[in-house]
Amino acid sequence: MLLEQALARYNESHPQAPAETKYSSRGDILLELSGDLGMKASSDVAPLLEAALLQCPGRGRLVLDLSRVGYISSTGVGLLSTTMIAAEKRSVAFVLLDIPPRVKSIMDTLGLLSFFNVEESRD
Amino acid sequence: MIEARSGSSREEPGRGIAQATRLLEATVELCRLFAQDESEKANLEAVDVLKRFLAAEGAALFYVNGRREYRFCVAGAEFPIGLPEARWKESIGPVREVHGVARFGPWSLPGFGGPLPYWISAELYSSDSNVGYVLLGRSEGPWSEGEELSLSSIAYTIAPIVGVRIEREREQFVRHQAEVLLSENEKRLRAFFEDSRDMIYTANSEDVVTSVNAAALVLTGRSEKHEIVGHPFSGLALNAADREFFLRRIREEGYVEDYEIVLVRGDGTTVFCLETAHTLRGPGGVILELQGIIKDISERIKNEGELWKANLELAEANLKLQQTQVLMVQHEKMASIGQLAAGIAHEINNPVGFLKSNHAIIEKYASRLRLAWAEARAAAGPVIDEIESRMDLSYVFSEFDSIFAESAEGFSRIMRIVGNLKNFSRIDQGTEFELYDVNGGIESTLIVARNEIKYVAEVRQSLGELPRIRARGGEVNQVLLNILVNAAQAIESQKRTEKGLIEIETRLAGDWARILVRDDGPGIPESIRTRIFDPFFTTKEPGKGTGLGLSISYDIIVTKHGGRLSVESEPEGGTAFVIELPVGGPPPLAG
Repeated sequence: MLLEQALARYNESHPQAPAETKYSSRGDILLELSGDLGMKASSDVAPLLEAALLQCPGRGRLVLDLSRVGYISSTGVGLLSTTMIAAEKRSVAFVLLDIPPRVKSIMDTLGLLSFFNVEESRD
Repeated sequence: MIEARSGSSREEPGRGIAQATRLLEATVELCRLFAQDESEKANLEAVDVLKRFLAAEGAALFYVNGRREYRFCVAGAEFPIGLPEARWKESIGPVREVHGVARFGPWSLPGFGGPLPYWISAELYSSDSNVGYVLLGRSEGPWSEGEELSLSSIAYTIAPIVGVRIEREREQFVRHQAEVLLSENEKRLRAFFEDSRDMIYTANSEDVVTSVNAAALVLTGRSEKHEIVGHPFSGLALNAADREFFLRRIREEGYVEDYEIVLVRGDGTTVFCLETAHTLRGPGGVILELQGIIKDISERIKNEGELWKANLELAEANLKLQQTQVLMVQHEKMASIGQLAAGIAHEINNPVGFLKSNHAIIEKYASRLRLAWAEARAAAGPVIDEIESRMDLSYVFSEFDSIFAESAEGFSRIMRIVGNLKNFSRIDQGTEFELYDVNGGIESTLIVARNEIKYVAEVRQSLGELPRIRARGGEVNQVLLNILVNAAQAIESQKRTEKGLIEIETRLAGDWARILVRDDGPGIPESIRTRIFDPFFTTKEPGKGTGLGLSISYDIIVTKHGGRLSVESEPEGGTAFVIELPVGGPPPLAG
């Protein structure tokens, strides 16, 4: 499924917290999430990340902007982990951008933060 | 007005009035009894009143109360009925019923004296739930019709009062039952609340905890409930902001399901919890109370976390292994191609060297021979002319120049090829960035790839003026070789009759050296275009490709040189790879 289709489907079921995508000139993909990454939302975000990974050029970057994510559940952290693994398999750099302190704290408590490429700002 | 009559056919008027008065008194007495005394003692007294009024020797009241209990009142006492209905009927014997009054006898009240010959019985009252039968017995003379009618009359008159009494009793019974049920429910819910293994709590609209169960103490590591009750819930959370987020959601939606929160125990350790809660709202939607259940999922999270961690570590190890493999393949490839090329170059270089040297000497000697022949010819005269003519020496001498010129050109070409072969691998360069001639690199690479290309495609070059760039020439040549060989193999895969075309263009674009390699092969389908730089991705048949060529190329151009490598392909066929390299070498972070 193409990213645009996955995005349209996601936004249809999450009108209050839509996701957005942007492309860099190098073909990198920036995916911006909002709302929460609880159990339900995580299962909805999964196909979106999968499509983004497929569409991301090999050796490219998939940047996930979490600055507008208020809450993350263990399922959400699990999703990020599986995406990280899938990205590594494809040699795509999976980057977490602007992780809110609450989300960072959960990832840290789970001992998983160090596995991720974390960037503090879009620049 | 119903009058009680005696058994005789003639009645005195005074006696009739007296009987009517007694009937009235008995009726009033019964009404008073049933109206004033709502207890079941009224039944006992009612039996006495009827016994006196009708001068019975034996009297009893059989009744079923609102609690569906079967009772028996006799001799001022009340008993539960133990005999089944069939035994009762059997003991009573045949019954004759007139005006709703049954006659039977002889019969004795079980356990109360001997038998009496004459009995009457009437339904004193009845409702959906209650019923009462009075039984009166005597020994002297059968019951008169008047007495039977009096009994019927009493029953008829007191019916409304008894009805109200019964209704009230029924309501009391229902209320009592409801209270019993409520009490049992309360106990059940209290037990559910207290004995639950999950923390159950309530909080007011300000999120101050108002009650908790025993499990809350275990979960939060507190010893007394007052350490939690009366305090804001957020004090239990690792991140107060998490609780704020939770409250915002529950205020908006009325409930929150499976919300994960990390609580801090009394000893400072953390515990992962899953909370489901809802609000109780009053008029106008005002939140009165939050009610929540919190489950300890630390063990699950710990296991999951360890699993994720293991997977991530495995993926990292896998990546490193992959990179090592890529590196090894790259080195091996470079080593094999480079060493082969360098080896061949070295081997050819020596014989070609002395061949060229000998060739120069022979040319010099031939020139000297030609001069000597001319001198001999001038001195000897016709004999020499005859020899020259016979052996066609004038033609031989005239060919010397072109033969030596062609040979010199051949030697130059061999030397250039040898040089290119040595240049291709640039093994001596190591990992240093040095000045590199892009067009020269293309020429060297074409020589190495010539055998792969020459039978399947023509090569058309349009090489522009380029400055020498800072690069690892051997690695860039390897990229060019990968792309050129791929192009040739793609064209070959079409099994076409005519040769294909590979175009190579170079030009300077600002500070970048741009190399375009375009083929007219089948092209790359869009569905796999984003994956061609993935390690181990290949569309070639097994044994023909490792799937590492373009991945290594990407690494060399993008990661090591800070350059760009892109691909364009049209649906109708043809693929163009564009390599862009910074003239000044990679930026400080690349490589």
